[in-house]
Order: sequence, then structure tokens, then C-alpha cells
Amino acid sequence: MARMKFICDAERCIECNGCVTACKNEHEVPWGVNRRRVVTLNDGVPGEKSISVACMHCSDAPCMAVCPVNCFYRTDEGVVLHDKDVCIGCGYCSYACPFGAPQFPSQGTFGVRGKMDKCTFCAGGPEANGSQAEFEKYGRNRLAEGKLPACAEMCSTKALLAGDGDVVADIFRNRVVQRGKGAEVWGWGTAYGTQQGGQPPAGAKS
Amino acid sequence: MADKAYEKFPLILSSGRLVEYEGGGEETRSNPWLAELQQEAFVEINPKTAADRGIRNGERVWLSSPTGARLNVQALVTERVAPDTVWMPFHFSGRWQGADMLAYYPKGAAPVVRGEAVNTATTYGYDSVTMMQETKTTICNVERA
Repeated sequence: MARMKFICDAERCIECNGCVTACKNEHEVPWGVNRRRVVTLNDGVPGEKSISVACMHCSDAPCMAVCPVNCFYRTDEGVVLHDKDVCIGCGYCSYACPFGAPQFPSQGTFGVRGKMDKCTFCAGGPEANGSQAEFEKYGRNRLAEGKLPACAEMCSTKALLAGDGDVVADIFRNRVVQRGKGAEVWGWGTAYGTQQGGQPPAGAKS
Repeated sequence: MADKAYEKFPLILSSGRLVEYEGGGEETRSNPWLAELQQEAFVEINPKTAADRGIRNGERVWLSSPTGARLNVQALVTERVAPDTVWMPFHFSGRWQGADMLAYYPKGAAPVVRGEAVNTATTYGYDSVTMMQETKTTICNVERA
């Protein structure tokens, strides 16, 4: 079974926000909830780099570890999903997440946040695949339709890759060999552990 | 040059595009997916120019031009522009010299995001060879609002 992963290639990302827009449109995500966002470092100075950030579906997911009601679960494909019927909106996951992925729809009285919302790797939730109930809570289930996440499919420079971890790591590794630079994959080590594919060989220079 | 406009307006204002919007932006600013990504009209100012005027990143500024126009926009302090240049996106409209024009839109027709139009500031200049009007740049000054 494939283990689904994201890679964002900072050498290629042109900060077009196509991934953000694709995600918003695919899942009809409301204003203020950002399942995916583009972060730009050193904006406006030489060496500016952008990366697209969302839930990375970590191998050892901190959100899963801290959730007091165990609303998180992992699918056979390694996608970290959550059950909004169980979620109590406590926000622990947002403190634990190194990527700022968990989103909360409201800032109400007494800290009422509403149910947590995050990237599902376009894999929906616990409801029946493709059902209306699933769409309303989690957005479209593209994985069940045999499609990859809309953000990566839409990426105009193919900076954002989504799919089987071994496959996307191979694509990335070939790019690094071809261009001879840009071997760092932002977030890969944090999400999937440093010894996995996509990391540069020891001592490699970017 | 007799009126020494360049002394009152020492900066060059250039205008250009943002990836989220198209043209005057009326249609794309009405799309919430896009509008959420660019919620304010802004002017890019070099850190040195901003410091000389006591402007901090994210503050409101008045941009004035020889036409007498005064645009109220947000300052984006960045090294992307040189100290003698400021830059504005041209996709905005719906605010006029500090006032929101919301009441003038037919009901339900107002775009999600409204901002100062750069053409309020650009001048009557034109190219004497091609007779093309100059809507790309003008001279201007920026001060803290």
C-alpha cells in the first residue's frame, strides 16, 4: 500500500497561490480557514523562497498524540484524518502541530472555536466515501475516486508533489541531481523522519 | 519644471500586477477564493524611504500625486523597490481618496475587496511619439496617514 506524502520544492514554487485556490474551491472551505497556505521567506530580497504548507500527514503525528478525545486516525495510505463528530474543538492539536495545519472556524465567546478543520489529503473523513455528509464536513474525497490532492494536481510548476512517498521522493531526487542544488525539502524530516527518501545524502551541499 | 513638482513629489510611482487579480480586478476581487489572498490595496516602499517618513510596515499612508489626488493605502515596506521608487498594484477600485464607495454599487454587485485605484494618481502625461497615454507611472509623495 502506498504511503501518501507531500513534498514542496522551494526551488520551483513561484508563490502563485494556485494550490491554495485549488484547495478552497475543491472543498468549499470558508473565508478565514486555510487548509493550505503559501509561506514566503526573505520576501523582496535576493534568495527569496516560497513553500506551500498544509498538514503533512506525519508518520508520528503530534496532533494524534495530544488529542484528548482521540478523534484522529490514520488510513491504510498513511493519511492522518479526524472525526469532526468526536472533536471537541479544544485546540491542543494546533499547539502540537509543527506546520500550523489545524484550523478553527470561529473565535467565539469563552474561546469557542468550533470543530477543527484541516487538510485531508483530499481523502474525506469517516463517513461513506463520496457521500454528501462527508463532503459537508471534510470536503471532496478525491483519493476514493483514484485522484491525487487538488493542490498538487493544480501546481503550475509541479513544485508541490503529492502521492506515494517513494515515487515523489524519486522525482525530487532526480531534480536535485539534474540541477545540482536545492536538496533541502522543507518539513520532510519533521513530518516523516530524517532517514527517509527525499532527504539529501549525508554531506550533500545545496 | 517651473513649478518644481519634482520637489513636492520626489518619488516615482510605478504600477503593476498581482498574481491573484486580473485587469481592474472588479471580477477577480469578487471571487472570495482570490479576494481572501489580497485583502488590501497597498504601496511598496523601500525601508530607507519609509524610515525617512516615519512609516512602518502595515501602516496606512497617504500617497499624493501632481493631479491633486490623495490615495489612502497600506504600506508594504520591502527592499523589492529602490529608495526612489514606490510601487502599487493596479487591480483595485471601490475606494476613492480614503472613502469607501460601497454605497454606489448596485445591491449585491460590490466586490469583496475594495481599494484605491492607482489611476486616480496617474497624470495626464503621454508619449509624444506614439501618443500613448501614460497610465503606468507618475511622480508622487508618500506620507504617514
